[in-house]
Amino acid sequence: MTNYLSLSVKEIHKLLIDKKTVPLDLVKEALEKIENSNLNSFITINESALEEAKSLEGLNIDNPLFGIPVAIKDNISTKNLRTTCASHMLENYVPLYDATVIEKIKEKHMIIIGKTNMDEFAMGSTGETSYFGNTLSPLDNTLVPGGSSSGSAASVAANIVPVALGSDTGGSIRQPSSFCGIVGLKPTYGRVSRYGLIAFASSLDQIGPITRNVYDNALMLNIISGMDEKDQTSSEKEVEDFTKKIGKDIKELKIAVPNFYMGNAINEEVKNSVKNIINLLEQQGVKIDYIDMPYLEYAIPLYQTIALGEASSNLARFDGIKYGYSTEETLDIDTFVKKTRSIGFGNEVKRRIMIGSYVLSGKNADKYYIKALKLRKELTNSFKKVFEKYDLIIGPTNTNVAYKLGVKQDDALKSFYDDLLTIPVNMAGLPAISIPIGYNSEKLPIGMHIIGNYFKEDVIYQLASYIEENRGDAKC
Amino acid sequence: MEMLNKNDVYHVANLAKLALDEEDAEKYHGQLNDILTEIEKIETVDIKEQDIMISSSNNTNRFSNGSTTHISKDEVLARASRTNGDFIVVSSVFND
Repeated sequence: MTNYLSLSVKEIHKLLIDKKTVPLDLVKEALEKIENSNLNSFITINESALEEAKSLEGLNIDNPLFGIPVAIKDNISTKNLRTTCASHMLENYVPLYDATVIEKIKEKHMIIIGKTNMDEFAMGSTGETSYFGNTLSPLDNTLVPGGSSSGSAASVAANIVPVALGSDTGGSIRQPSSFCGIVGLKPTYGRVSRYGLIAFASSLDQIGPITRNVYDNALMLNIISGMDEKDQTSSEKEVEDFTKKIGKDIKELKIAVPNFYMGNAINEEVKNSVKNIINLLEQQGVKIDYIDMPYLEYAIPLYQTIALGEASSNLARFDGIKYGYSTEETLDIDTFVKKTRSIGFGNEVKRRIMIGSYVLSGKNADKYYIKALKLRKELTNSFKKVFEKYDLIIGPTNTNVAYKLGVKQDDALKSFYDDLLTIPVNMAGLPAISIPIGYNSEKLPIGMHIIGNYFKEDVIYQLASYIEENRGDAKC
Repeated sequence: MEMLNKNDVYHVANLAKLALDEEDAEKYHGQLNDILTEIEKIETVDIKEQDIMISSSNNTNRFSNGSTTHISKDEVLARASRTNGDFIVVSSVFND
């Protein structure tokens, strides 16, 4: 079996240009790897992938992603390809249309290999809430790969595909990327169309690329970004070439490190690893200041109120009547809907929509939800204040490294804490990346978080690529 | 602090359109209280801001261009779990 898919997109592109391989071989390799994999990282394989690859023969290779196999998180709608959200509720759902990001991928002649496993409706941070069984980490099968974009991250880390799409509502791209030792970016809210992304929390959700290196990530963002009139929140901001600052000097960058991101909640080895990078940057003359940022400590209750409130509303559409699973019993309408939803949804989803319904009901709406929206504005203001003086914010992506499967399964609260450092970014709608910066003493990857100002993904990539090139011995 | 008693759990399940049995209610009783105790921290935070933030997007409503997409009857019927001729069969949901 060939192993071209362990190469970077840039290298594979060169092989295609030089006619040393063809898209059909790449697809065959990906399918063979999935066949031999025990990771359970895919829910559905695209049966047309070989045919699509064959149809590219003889076409002009007109872009860097031409013929590259890609894996898609299973909450992104793909026409005629089952899209389950890893839920019993949508087990047999086959969309009638493509999400905008899928249309863009197809225009560039990328080949969708299949739909990746995930936490049910993107609710979870371990991959364990999937109706189709959990994804295993390619680094160690006893560990969680992170979530909710578990299968996308695991497939990229295992060299099954060089790129994948995930979605990030509170950290669902960055956290699994950190746990698997790869690169994952959550774009600025509005940068990438959400049309066709099955909604979890509409004001926080963003689709983003998961790759093994920074350059490939920027290439992928180049093609999925842009204004889409089908998404009300889509930005009209011009899409630049996100690779343009890669390799540029970083000396002029001004960087802030919030003290909260290096506080007591963070594992010592993780902090030390981040400090090593801070030292490296300071040696290059980069100005780095530790700062106090208010309200970061409220990330979890903010998320629980806003994300779960929105989720309870978004998931109300799954009533067994319009589409998705429905009980075949003859019942009155209220019992029918409740029975359908109780069987169709898993525990984590049920727990979350109950909380969401509670915080939106009656007087609680003012007490919790409206208060949370005001707090969200305060938090966002405090980010804006930092970006008046600094170009980037850095810190760890997570409080710790990947942990054992099963550890947090029955703890309703603990899994939220995985996203302590990533949630604030979604609340403010900012872009942020996770890149690998080294290992802990158990040889598990540590991720670093780089947060940028609105629509400044290019500056994030500039610093990320510098660290990637220069982190030296700690290289993952 | 217990914020929801067992009866409240059934009430919240009803709001979320979920049916719970005794065992479920027992399980969710503890878990929901754990989460709500965390959420309660929102109440205690002192903030000056009186504006709410629903989204980071400042877009205003825009009209669609009025174009429509045609979906064939066959495409729709092929996706229904139960059909009868040109009709989609759904469960009977009428009260007596």
